[in-house]
Amino acid sequence: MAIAEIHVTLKPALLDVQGKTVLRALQQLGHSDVEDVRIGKVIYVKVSDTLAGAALQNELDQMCAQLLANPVIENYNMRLLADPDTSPGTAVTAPAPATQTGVIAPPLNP
Amino acid sequence: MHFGILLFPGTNCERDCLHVVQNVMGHTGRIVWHEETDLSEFDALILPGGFAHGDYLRTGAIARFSPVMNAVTEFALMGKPVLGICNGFQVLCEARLLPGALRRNAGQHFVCKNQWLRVEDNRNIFLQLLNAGDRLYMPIRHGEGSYYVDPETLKKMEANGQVLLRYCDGAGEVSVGANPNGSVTNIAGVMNAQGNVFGLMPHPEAASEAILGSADGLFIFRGMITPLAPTTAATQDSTVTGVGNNMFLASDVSA
Repeated sequence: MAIAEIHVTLKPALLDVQGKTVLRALQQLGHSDVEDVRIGKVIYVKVSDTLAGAALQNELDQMCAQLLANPVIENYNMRLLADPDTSPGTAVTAPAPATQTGVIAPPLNP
Repeated sequence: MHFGILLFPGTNCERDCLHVVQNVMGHTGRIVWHEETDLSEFDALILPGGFAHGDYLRTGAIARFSPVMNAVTEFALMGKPVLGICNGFQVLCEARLLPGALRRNAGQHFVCKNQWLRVEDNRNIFLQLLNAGDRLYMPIRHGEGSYYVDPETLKKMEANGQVLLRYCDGAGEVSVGANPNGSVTNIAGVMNAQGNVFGLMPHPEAASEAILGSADGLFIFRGMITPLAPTTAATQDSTVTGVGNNMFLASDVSA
């Protein structure tokens, strides 16, 4: 089993209004060294081990071209992470869900 | 004429469109759930505004793969008229039935206001009842309406008469100040090369009766079901020319 970490970003030539807003906020907070901020998406796709190597790469590229990125305005790149369940010794750790690292959302049905 | 009005989970303007088609124009229409696959009963299609599939990932990105979309593509390839409004425009771009893409508004804000538009080209079914240079008045309400297309494609679209509407001010001036969302060259609506698929961010269905402040949207709905005259570019129909400036034109609503 593998986890693909896919980064989707606006093409460099396009204005990233979210990034610009965050840039201004950082500068207002006194981080005057910040020159630019660009914001993208990170998508984690877990794939069964029926796919590997070039076939896996090909499949992931298709997913990006079909759905995960819009080639008119976005670029994507990816890397494969080892699955912590099957290979606990690897250095790369799988991403923790946002609710574990950031603000914890209240459960819907406590 | 019989209109199909698509309903994705999260679409919210479908009943407004049906109201215009049935009660204002006197035609028939049916709301089509996104899992339907047969559109053969319809003469024209409308993809209404809303937030199809929650706009997750990107606006229109998931809706593009709804079961009905294969039939929409076939419908479009047959040359029948397809109109995408707001979220419908975004879906048509994602489906590659229209060139370009819609980005987050420059300035980040969701924009909700009435907006002037300039007719850029009337040599098409959608705007044939208007003249180039006419102004239309319609609401816009979107967070991702900043149209983008690469400069080379835009040049081809211009030459091909595919840029139909631009944001302008009350005097009809297409200026940076009149651009509500950072759209490339103020573009508000574009058409495909074949001339039968049109997408726009403004809401013509919300500007089709005088009581709503403008009936300018009716020109688009009526145009899309009117056979295109062979000499459209030179058409000077005195009953409909220049009235884009008239916001209170709803008396002219005959089917």
